[in-house]
Amino acid sequence: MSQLSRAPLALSLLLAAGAASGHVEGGHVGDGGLLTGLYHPISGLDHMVAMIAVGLWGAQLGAPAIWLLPVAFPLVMALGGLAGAMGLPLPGVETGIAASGLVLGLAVALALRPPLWVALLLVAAFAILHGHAHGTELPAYGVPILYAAGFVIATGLLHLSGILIGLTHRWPWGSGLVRTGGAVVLAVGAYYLLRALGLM
Amino acid sequence: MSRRTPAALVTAVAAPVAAAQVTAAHPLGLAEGMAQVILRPEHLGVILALGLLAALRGPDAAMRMQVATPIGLAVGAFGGAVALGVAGAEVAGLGVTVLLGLLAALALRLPLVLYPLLALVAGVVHGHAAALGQGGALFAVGLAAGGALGFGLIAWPGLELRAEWQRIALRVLGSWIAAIHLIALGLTLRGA
Repeated sequence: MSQLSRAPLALSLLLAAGAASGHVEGGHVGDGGLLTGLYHPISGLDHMVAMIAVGLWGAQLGAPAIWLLPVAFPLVMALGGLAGAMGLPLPGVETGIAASGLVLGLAVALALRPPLWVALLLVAAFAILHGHAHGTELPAYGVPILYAAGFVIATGLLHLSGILIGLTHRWPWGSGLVRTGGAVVLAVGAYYLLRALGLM
Repeated sequence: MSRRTPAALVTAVAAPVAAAQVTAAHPLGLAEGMAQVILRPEHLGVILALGLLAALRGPDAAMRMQVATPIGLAVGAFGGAVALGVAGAEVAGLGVTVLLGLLAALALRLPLVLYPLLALVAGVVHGHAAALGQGGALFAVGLAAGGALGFGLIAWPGLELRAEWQRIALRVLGSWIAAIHLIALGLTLRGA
């Protein structure tokens, strides 16, 4: 099977995973270990769309962004997670997370191509916010290292799904698909931002 | 992927089965020591990180680390077995793994002499943490053997991954290992 024909299968599996998570939303998942950690990034639509948007944008920007972002993001997110886990306050986390969806969605929808350092700085800032949220929301029970493994892996897989979709931008139909995806992310981000600001 | 890789994978799967058959005939410490690398995620993480480092640096580094890793584990485990309790062994272990994961993510070409030193230090720290308060000499031997096997199963097949996207995947794994252990470090310090 060629690499291209494998991509739709991978995409379908990843999307199915998201649908499956809808059945458990609102309740505890797992015992504070790997499963709980895997579930956390996909438990919130604001987290999910931002992670996918990082992959989409990286694919649009091409090398080296396409691999720099998934290498750097988990590390910077972990720093934010460390801060959150240790109770260090960070103002405006929820607003910032919502803004990340809006900004990243806009970048993908408009196929913005800033200098690499600007893209990295932006993604790093959002990674700190997302990580901080994961760190403060971790359960008081369970196995910390397995929880950490779960949500880092889930985050990485969301990036990968974004990259796989984003790679289709090389074709005319794919370019439209990716930018439409960016628009969807932007809409979700805007919704959550308005909610965070108390306007909805 | 070479023909060695499937054989290595079969060996890895067969190892736990073999360990179950060993416990009846040998002291419990040996099998428990070997199983640490599989059963304890923090020790699995350091072996993965060492293997990734070796795979990214090349066969010369891999050979040196293949020798240094079990030596470090054995030395550390012997120290832990005689209860030379060093405060913060768990924290040190997590910190070492963060560093190794970070080095793998950056794929820096360090001087060759540093690689076995890193493996030795990581082995001592993790061997000590694994054996502290439990296990004896056979546990230490088992831990060293398990670590050597685990390292080999990661490093040598990893050396065969030469395509650019494969090398990047190894670096991504390194960043994941660093990230996971960084968070775990924070949770441990918090007392979670």
